[in-house]
Amino acid sequence: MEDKKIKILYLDDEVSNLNAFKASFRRDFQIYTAINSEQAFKLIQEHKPEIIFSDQRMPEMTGVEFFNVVRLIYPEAIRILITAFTDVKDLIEAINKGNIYRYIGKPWNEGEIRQSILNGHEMLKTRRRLEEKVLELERTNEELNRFIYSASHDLRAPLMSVLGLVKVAELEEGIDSKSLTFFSMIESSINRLDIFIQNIIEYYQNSRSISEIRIIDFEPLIQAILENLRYYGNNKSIHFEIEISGEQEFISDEFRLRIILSNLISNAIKYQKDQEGSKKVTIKVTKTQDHAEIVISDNGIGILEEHLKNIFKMFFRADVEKSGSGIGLYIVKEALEKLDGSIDVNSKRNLGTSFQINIPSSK
Amino acid sequence: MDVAQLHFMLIDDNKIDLFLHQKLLSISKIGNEFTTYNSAEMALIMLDKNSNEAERLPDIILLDIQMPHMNGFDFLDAFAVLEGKLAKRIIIYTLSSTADSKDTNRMKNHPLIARALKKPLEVSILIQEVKNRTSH
Repeated sequence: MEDKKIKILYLDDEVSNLNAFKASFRRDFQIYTAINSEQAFKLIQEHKPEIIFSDQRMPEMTGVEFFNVVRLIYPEAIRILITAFTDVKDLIEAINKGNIYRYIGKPWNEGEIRQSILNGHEMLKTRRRLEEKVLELERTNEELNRFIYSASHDLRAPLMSVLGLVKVAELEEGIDSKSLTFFSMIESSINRLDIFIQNIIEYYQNSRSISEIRIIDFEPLIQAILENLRYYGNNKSIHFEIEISGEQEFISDEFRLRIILSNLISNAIKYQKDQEGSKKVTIKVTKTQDHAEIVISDNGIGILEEHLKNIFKMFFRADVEKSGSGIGLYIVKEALEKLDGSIDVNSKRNLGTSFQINIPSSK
Repeated sequence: MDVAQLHFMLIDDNKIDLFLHQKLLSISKIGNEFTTYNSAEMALIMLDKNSNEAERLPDIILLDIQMPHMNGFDFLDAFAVLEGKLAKRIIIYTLSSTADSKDTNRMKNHPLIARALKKPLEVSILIQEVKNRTSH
């Protein structure tokens, strides 16, 4: 700051004021003066003064009006109005709108101006530091997300190779039943890990503003999700019931809808009872004029009432026996927030769980 | 077309996956000739060299998407240029483990991709797909 003086612009229609201002402050600050707004804007463009003073009463426009414009074209500058106390209403409005940092009464004295310059400059520096920090944080966050994303991809490719190899091994001739049991256990572990990796990728994508707004065709969307989950859990012994009603077009972000549905459906599959019995998952979609209601219910193990309030928290796991990461429902909630949707859950231990989602159509 | 008589070209930078897919296909008795390439460039050179010898060209290409240097989409761009002079119509399926919705959408809408298949290869889906496509 010693070698670089603070740059100050002063706009006033009276030359004597400008000269007095210059005489008082030019030793400590870099002073630019303007007799009308045209000159002032030119100086702003050329020199980017950090602090701008303006008289309120001028023939072509008021200081408040001048600052309204300055704020639009050069918002970083600290704007200070110099005024007699007769323009109180304008002044209050300008300060409340944030167009003016402070005002100084006329006639001004040197000490007050000097103090306002130093305060204003201090504020400017703080603001700049904050902006730098925000940028830095955003960058770090972005890098972290990118890392998570590429790591997930790099994890997934070899995992799918392993899954394929297990399948080939299962098809080998002369394989004994004991090995087959092991292979199927390996398979189910791989599938669990894979769902987790996919969740992380979904979380990353949801945090970015990718969206796929289109008319939603629920039937193929749900079929594709079920297809994706074909090896998941005891999928094969579960009866799926899909019911879609309503003629209206439902428009939404298909990408996020897919995240929500696949997480809830995979949960409905995962939290089935271990013993045999008629396992059932029902997916019911009702489209109306301006929203869609989706209910996903199962007759699985259910959720203890005391856990219901926590299930949407990140890494919360209600059931220690079932393997899970506790990220799925958190992602569901995050994705729903992006769609302005809401979710409700009903559950009875040993009877099953039902999630009701409500999403407005984005027309 | 008899699925047991098909000629497959497999393109994947991962040799284990090449081995795996060839094995899955031969166990399932689909295809009787397999050419494998661990880079898209090598596959293109081969296609170009044999472009007017139908019996040397594959019926079906299984194409990985995420590959270094030239990825699956780059391969398809080059293939589009080459396609006109090929003595045979080749069906291309992508076979990928990508979970990126950008990739998925691009594959779904790509004119040269008959269908985007997921790793690990589900042979029954491929057989069904090939039968549907070659029967009419």
